[in-house]
Amino acid sequence: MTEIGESQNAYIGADIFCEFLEVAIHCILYTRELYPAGVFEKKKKFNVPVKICVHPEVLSYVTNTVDSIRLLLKENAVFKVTVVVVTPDHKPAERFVFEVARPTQNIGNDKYLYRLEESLRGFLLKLSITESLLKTLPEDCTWTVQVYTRESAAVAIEQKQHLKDFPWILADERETTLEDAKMIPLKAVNSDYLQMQLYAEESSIK
Amino acid sequence: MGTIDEMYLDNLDEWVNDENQIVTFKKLSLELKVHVNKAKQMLYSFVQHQRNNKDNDHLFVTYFVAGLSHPVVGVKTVKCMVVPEENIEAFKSTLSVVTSSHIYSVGRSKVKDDNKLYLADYDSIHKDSTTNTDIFKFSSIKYPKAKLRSDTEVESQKRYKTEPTTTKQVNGTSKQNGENGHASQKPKQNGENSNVSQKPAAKPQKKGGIAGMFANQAKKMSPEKDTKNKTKSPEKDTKEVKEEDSKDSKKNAKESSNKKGGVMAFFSKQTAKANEKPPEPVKKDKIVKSEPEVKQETMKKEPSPAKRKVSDKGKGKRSKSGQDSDDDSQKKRRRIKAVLIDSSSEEEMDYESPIPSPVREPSPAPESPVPKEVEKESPEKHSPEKTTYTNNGEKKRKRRRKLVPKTFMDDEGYMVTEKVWEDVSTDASETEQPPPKKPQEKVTKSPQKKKASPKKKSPPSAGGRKQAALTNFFKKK
Repeated sequence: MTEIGESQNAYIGADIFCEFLEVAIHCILYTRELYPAGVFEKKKKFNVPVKICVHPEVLSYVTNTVDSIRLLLKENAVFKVTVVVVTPDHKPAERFVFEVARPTQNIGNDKYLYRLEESLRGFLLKLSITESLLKTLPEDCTWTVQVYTRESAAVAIEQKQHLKDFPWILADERETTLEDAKMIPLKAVNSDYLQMQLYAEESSIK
Repeated sequence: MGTIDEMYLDNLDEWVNDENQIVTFKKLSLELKVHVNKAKQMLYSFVQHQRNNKDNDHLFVTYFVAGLSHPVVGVKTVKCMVVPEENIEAFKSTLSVVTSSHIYSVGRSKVKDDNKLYLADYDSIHKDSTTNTDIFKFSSIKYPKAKLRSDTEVESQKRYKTEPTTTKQVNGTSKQNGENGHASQKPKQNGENSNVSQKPAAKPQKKGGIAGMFANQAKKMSPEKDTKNKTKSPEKDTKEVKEEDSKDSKKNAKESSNKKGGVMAFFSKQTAKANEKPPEPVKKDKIVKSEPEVKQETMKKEPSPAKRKVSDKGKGKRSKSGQDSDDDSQKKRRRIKAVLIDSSSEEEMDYESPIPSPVREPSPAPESPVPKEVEKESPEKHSPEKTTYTNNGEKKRKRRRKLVPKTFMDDEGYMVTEKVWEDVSTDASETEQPPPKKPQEKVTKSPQKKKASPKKKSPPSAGGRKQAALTNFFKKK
């Protein structure tokens, strides 16, 4: 594949990943019971029903987050995106890590993205059944999204984000490290458009 | 049996405990290729086995329960529910009669809603749903009369839908005849080149456009049909023509659908082509619009096949057409444009079509239809502004500039269509004899042409143009 083709695919991949990430965040919010089940509505994505939080502020927060990640992705500046569940005493209890990379080789054979869609469904299924692998969370947990980027990109995004009124800040060390973490691999996909793997990490103290 | 038991228990153990899947009986039956009822038994014995022998209490089991509810206002309803294990008794108590109760799924994670269950067996159930007969084979719900259609059946159905008219119109005439007919028209056209009758121009436009579409479509299906179609009309006498009129009116609806088919086909092809022209949606609209008109006009025609020959009546009609022309002219122009685009695209389609396209063949005879149509349609479309409609239907000579699409093979072997301005003058009168029937057949399809000039003059002009186009085509090549 030519250079142009590859970067185009990566561009498409960024969009696909962001679409998926949005659904996945909502899915995590739902399965980890971070919000009451009543604020979730059933929608259809990737041909399967998914639960989307309809609370307007949550919704716009997720949308803004994903939008700015999209910007970073297109500059190929993102290593991983984590959704961190934080206990009431501000310690990260568990996190879901989406590691992304640009496609390295041309696998082909998935012209209509049928297989990619199938694996994204697989991701959602895995996410929705992780609860059986994780300990139940304490009450009143909150959550946050952390993005691991290149330093230059972080500076660039800072300037842009202020314009959009959705600033990102540098995360503290204590927010990013889980004590005595246990890793649970969930799923990985490698396609023409993106490479991604998903795993959950769980701290032993909750 | 013992060994089989072991195996499926191992399988289930792996899926449920190691891979943390939710296993529904449907998924199990598809994966292991066993009947659904057997799959339910397997799941049940797996759960028993896990709980009794392995002290695994972390399994989350759902049950499917169906039955008649207690009568509400004297009406009993059938209820089917998938319920978690702990609610099963509660749900059963709401039923007066329990008709079925069996295990639905087993998994280690809690099922909070139906999403998960649906997601769990989505991929195994939807995998190859068209060819996956296992779903039917292992189900206990059967309808033996429902059979999968074979590919050939599906094909024939499609064909029947898309080209009902063309098949009807095909009669016994052979391909040879068709070619002869074309050949005979050629010389006349050459002679006519210098003169153009205005009215005929208007008519042929439509004819060319719609007829061309039909011809093209037919060609796609089979080149033979196409030629038959064209040649058929000249052979018919007026009586037949009349009959056809009435028939055509009936057919109109079908034909319109036909047109659509052609247009749709065109769209689909066009999407593939990046370089094609933009106004596709518009085109569609216009074509659709034109259909009602067509019907109206054919209605008018029907009662008066005889009138056509009577000059007075013919005049009356014509004058009418003249009046109409004002109203219509706008529509016509639009339509014409649309047709033009169509025609050019159709040409391309022809080239692309998997059926051996005439263009690529060295022999001139098969090629003729394509260029003819192109020219027919294109000049007419562009000329309408200049044409004047006379009430008495006189033929006038006109000089026109036409935008003519030319198709040729470029250095790299691609078919290239270009629009070229050409000066052409045509005489409608000369063209009269051979083509009239042709146009008529086609005219019936496109009533507008008839409106403009019920006389047969118009058709000849169309023929002439065709020929010009042909010659041009060859020269360019």
